Amino acid sequence: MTPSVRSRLWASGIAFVLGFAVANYGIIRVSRPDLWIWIGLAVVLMGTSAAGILFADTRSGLSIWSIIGVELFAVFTLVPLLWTFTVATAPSGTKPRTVWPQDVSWDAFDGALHSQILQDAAVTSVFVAGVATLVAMALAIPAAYALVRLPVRGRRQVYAVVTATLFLPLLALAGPITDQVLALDKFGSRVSLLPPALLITLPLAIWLSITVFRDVPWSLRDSVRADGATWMQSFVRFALPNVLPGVFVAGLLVFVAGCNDFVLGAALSADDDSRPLPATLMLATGQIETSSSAVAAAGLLWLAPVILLLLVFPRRITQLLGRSYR
Amino acid sequence: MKGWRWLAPAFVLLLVVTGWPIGRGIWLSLHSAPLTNPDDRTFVGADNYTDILTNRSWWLAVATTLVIVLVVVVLQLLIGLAFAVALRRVTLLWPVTRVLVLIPFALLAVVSAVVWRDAVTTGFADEWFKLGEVGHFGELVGVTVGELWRGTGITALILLAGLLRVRSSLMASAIADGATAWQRSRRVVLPAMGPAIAVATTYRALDTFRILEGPLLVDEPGAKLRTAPLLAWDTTFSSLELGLGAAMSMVLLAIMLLMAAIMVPLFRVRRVV
Repeated sequence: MTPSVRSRLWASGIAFVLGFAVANYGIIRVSRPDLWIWIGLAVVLMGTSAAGILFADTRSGLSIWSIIGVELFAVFTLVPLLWTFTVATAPSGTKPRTVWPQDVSWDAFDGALHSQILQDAAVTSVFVAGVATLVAMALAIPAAYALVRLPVRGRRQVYAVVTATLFLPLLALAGPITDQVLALDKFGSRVSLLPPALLITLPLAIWLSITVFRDVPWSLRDSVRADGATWMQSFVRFALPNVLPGVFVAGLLVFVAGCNDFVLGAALSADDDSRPLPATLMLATGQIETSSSAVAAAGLLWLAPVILLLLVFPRRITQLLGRSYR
Repeated sequence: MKGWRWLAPAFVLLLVVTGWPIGRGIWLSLHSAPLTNPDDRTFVGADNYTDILTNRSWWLAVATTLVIVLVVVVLQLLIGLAFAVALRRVTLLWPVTRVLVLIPFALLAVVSAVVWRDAVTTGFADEWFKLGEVGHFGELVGVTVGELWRGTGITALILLAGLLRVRSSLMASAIADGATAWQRSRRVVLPAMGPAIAVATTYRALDTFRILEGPLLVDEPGAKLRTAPLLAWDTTFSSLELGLGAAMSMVLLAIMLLMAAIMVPLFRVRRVV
């Protein structure tokens, strides 16, 4: 579909006005080096505007509105990320005032990598989330299969319960869980974090597995069966290529969600040995330097594996998270 | 009934891990129970609940939370929709933007809250827009913007999945029939992506309602503006009033269920498994 000339000219006009406003505000109110970010954005917007006028009366499917939108989207996403990086690389004792990093010091990253407390916390997080994910996925896969493929009485009710637990405010359960753990005299052990972690992983695992199973071409399995494949053959030829990748990515997402939980970890941690990473970043005052740069550096390091995950399975993850309805 | 054999283990475990704390919470909320001394528990009936329900600061906190939820969700939907429309057309960049959309959501909420608080107190937002001394309110706005930033990408993703359900043949015939842009968006696009909008609204609202990290981070003694989750957290883990905190938690759960009970039929959220 080719946008009309009028729509492209309007988009060019808006882009020009936006770019003009950004350039002026930047020049008047923003000091260097952030000024260059503002001017860069202004140049890009005005370039878009010029391109819009040049391409206005052509048959190409280019949409100027979309290009403006993508540019604003990039700024919206990248500027706070760059700011996180700037905070993380600020030399200790200084507070950065500009988005563009001025004195880059890697001390905070170094400190986060070598901090015993953060290492323990990361191990706790990974251990708890890992075990909880394994248990949750092992139970969720048959459950999701039953919900998608088998006749289940009360399917809607089951689904409502799963959704409700997925969005349950966990902090409302943190107090009672803490009390229970205290009553069992298990407070401050990693094991005590496991049953509550299922609160996060189990509903999410069922929920994502359902999305995975909905997309599996089940008619193919019927044909495989009709062709007289043995159980093993149908597993190798059908289940492995069609089901396993989706389930694997769902498991990874559940694991990430389990690792990133703050509330339960903060409620159930008596000492540093049993405190997961997000809670440590917030609460372990005095133990690590709780300067913003330490928190930001640890957060960025924690983010790195997830970005790797996003780079390896981008299509599946966006499908899983985007198609969580119908 | 064959399906239940497969379903039962997961479902029973789910009911146990959620039902047990809720049951214990209800039981605790009927007691006066300081966390420091587990033996000193007296049954007080509904006293905790009357305390909360007649407490002005509790309802102020609930109102604050709901205002935050409303503002964040509306802005997320608008910005997310704009981004989704833009991202749909620029398919060439999709491999890059697909990753970019989800990175903020993957960042820990604690980290996002810390850097956004810094941004408004001493950092770039202060520098660019000359905010000056923002105070507690400004910090709360800062961490709320951080939450908005974190959730916009995933909202855009859900809305984008909805946009992709708009059939291009339907769109082409609408254009051939001479429908205006407004008519096209109301009669063709909206019905197709309705479910996605409903899901995005409901899920983002419920997810924003329970957020604790930001408000907890900027909380200070004597602060007037506190969110309801923060108040429940503070009562349980700082004042160590377990019974009162449990009662607040139960009221929170009730509010969440009420929100879901209003939104699900209102927006016709459905996902037939």
